[in-house]
Amino acid sequence: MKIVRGRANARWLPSRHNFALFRLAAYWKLRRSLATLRDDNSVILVIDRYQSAFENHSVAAWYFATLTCFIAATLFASLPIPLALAVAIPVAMVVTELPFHTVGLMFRRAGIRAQSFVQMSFLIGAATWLATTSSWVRFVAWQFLGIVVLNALAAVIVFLLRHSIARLESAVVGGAVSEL
Amino acid sequence: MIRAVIPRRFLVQGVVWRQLLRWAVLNVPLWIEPIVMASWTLVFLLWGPGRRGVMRNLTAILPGSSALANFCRTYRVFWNFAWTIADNVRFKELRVGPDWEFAGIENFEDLQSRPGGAIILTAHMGSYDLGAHLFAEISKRKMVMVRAPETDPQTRRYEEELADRTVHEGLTIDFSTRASELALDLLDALQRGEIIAIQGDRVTEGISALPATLFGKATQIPAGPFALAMTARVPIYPLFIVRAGRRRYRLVVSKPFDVVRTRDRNEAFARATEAWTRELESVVRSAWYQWFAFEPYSAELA
Repeated sequence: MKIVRGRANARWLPSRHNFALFRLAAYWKLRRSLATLRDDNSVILVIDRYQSAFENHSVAAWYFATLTCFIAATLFASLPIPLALAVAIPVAMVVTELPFHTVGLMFRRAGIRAQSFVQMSFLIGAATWLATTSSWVRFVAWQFLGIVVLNALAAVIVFLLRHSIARLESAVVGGAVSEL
Repeated sequence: MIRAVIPRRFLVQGVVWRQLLRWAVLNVPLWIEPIVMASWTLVFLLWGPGRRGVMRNLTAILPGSSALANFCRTYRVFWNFAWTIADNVRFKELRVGPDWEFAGIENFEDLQSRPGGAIILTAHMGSYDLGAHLFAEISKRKMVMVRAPETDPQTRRYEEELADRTVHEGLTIDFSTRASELALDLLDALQRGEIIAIQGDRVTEGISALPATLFGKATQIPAGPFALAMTARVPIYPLFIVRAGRRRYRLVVSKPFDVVRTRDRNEAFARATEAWTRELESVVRSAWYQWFAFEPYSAELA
């Protein structure tokens, strides 16, 4: 595990983010934070791609809200929308768990990356189908697919900027990075 | 009643939940982890004795609080506990740890640099295990962590196997069950200049205790750390590990205090326990949502 000691700005390292949109945002934020680069011996930060709390909570909220809408519009289509959404919340909690339990039972050593791929593919598949319907949920499906496409574009930009990102990261962490 | 119907391994302290947690840490995509945590926290809120224990403690910590508000607060305590134990398993299985912030860094540096032994007195807050591992990794000092073993034998075996896999040469884990021999071992360790970390907010069976007052209620706290500090003439550092967010912990280190030998032993202990409970109260009052005391801490609350 790589850690950075005493560099508060390191919280914006793109390597501490997973999705390209967040990596790009972190890169922009890290560049801006250069002006206030300072030592702070009261922090130890871990470099891991899933370390960002903001990113993981945001993606979880977005995923869950989208899934809830999909369930409300399909399983509870006959109910008024607010009621359907309310009923869909507990169902979405259970449905979120189904793919990784299923994959886990089928492939015992699937791992987080494979599970991530299956989970996201599951919702992309559902969104692609729901985007073609005439129900209110098509707007939700389109926003979901739109963000997926935006993230893909961001991934291309992050790839093109990879050298610049690496230079910036090493300028920020300098000799403060070590293995724990 | 429930205990008679459900197989032991499925009870709340049974091994199945530890195995499921390990499986989840290795398989759940991190970006849906908050949803999974929220769902399972709801499931564990069905654990009546634990829920009631936390709610009763909250009535003393936050006087005047309503039962409904404390029920919601209990969800928050369980939610923090779920994240904490997941972070602990993640560190042991994947060697991925949280970010750390230090409050009272000068006390922490003093603890690391002072010659001779010292006692770290802590509470069931945040991740005790993670804090000990962090200390062992960044400090050159040897540390002995004393903890209460799991009550369920299968869970105990499981946890011991897991701990064996993450052994660190600077960190020894010992169990508070073998009280009398352990006391001598710990005294030895202190005299060799090692640091002993003990939890000082809960008394388990077979452990000698001292009377104390916490949030205005009579309680008992372990006598061991205070007796050790007095015998070995080493200071006690109150240290708390507070979960500050997802994969983020704050290490709060307060000023050390001594258990000064006087003619009146009881008075010396009373002064020391008062110093400790003052620190404990101050941290628990501000971070009540992660004081993992699932039983009423005082007989008055039971």
